[in-house]
Amino acid sequence: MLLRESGKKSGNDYALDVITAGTGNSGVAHEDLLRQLAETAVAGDWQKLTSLRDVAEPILGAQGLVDVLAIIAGFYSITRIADSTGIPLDEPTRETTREMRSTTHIDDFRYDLKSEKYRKRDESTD
Amino acid sequence: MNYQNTRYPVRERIRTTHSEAWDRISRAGTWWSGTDRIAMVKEARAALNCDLCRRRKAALSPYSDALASAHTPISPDNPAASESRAAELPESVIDMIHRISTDPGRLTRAWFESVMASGISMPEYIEVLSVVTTSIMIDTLHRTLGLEPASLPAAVAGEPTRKENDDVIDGGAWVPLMPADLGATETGMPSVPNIVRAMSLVPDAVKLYFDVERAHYTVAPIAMAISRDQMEFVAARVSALNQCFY
Repeated sequence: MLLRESGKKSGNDYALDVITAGTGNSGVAHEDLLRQLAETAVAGDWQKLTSLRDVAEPILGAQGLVDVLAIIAGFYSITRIADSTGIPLDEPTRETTREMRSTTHIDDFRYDLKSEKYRKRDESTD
Repeated sequence: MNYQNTRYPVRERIRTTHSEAWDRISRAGTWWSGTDRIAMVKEARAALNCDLCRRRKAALSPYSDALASAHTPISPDNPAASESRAAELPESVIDMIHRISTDPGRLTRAWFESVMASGISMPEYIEVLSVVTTSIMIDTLHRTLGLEPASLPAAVAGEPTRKENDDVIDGGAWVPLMPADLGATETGMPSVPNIVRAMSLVPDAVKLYFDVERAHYTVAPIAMAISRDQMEFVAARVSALNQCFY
């Protein structure tokens, strides 16, 4: 999570657990709007996103809005590469993010846990 | 691309790299023909309207025997789905594309090994992954801007190069990775992070994907009308929504 590193550079100590929790205040400017844009796009709710674009444009600017949507599209796809190849964390970040991964519950998504977590089973539908 | 139909200012580099990627996808790659690669994009689009994918997504485990059936469109007259079926991609590749498109957070090593056991080679797998994720990035930007996904180009005749890349090592992933200096740079990341190494078994797969990705986001300085902190917040939130560990 490079927000931790960028926050250091900008002099901000952001509450990173907000990222995985999906609620709360991390301290990033316009985070509610950014969160809504990301969540609506990932959910594929294009009708709601149309309204959100109208709300976001005067706040972020037209170019800022497009830049946000470009990042969403980029990370919506790049996470699929990581998930499809089971790559490990990069060595330098493995140790330095240990506490943060625990705090934010990112460790719950560990690839080595998923085979057991989603094992083949008959009682599958909820 | 359909960016001429939007009033929003899509950056020139995005327009250019998307058009170039569409052209590359239409041509034979390292292991698959242009026809196959276009079919992969159609299948990724069809997955969004697939009855089996929807049932799997609602299940506690997407690997249940009860969910072992064909990928079929929710609406039988869905043209995207029926068109892709005509391309005759192997069933295991169709299933792979649907899972990557609709439920990537629950892909497992056991599933990956079952794909390998089906007869798909690792380089073939990597190339499918590159084509599908590149198309997802391009289609997603269109959809978020309120645009219809771009029309696909006609496949260009030609043979895959079938060029093996032996310069890879076991880096702890499901697939081999290129050797790289793992030390941290000033960003806190290595100069070649594992996400860039992930598809390095097929160098053209890396190029296809990251030529587009780098127009959307890079760790290096990039022209953006939002702050770096806002960029990273959006990136982290999308990753969390996709339950991505990396």
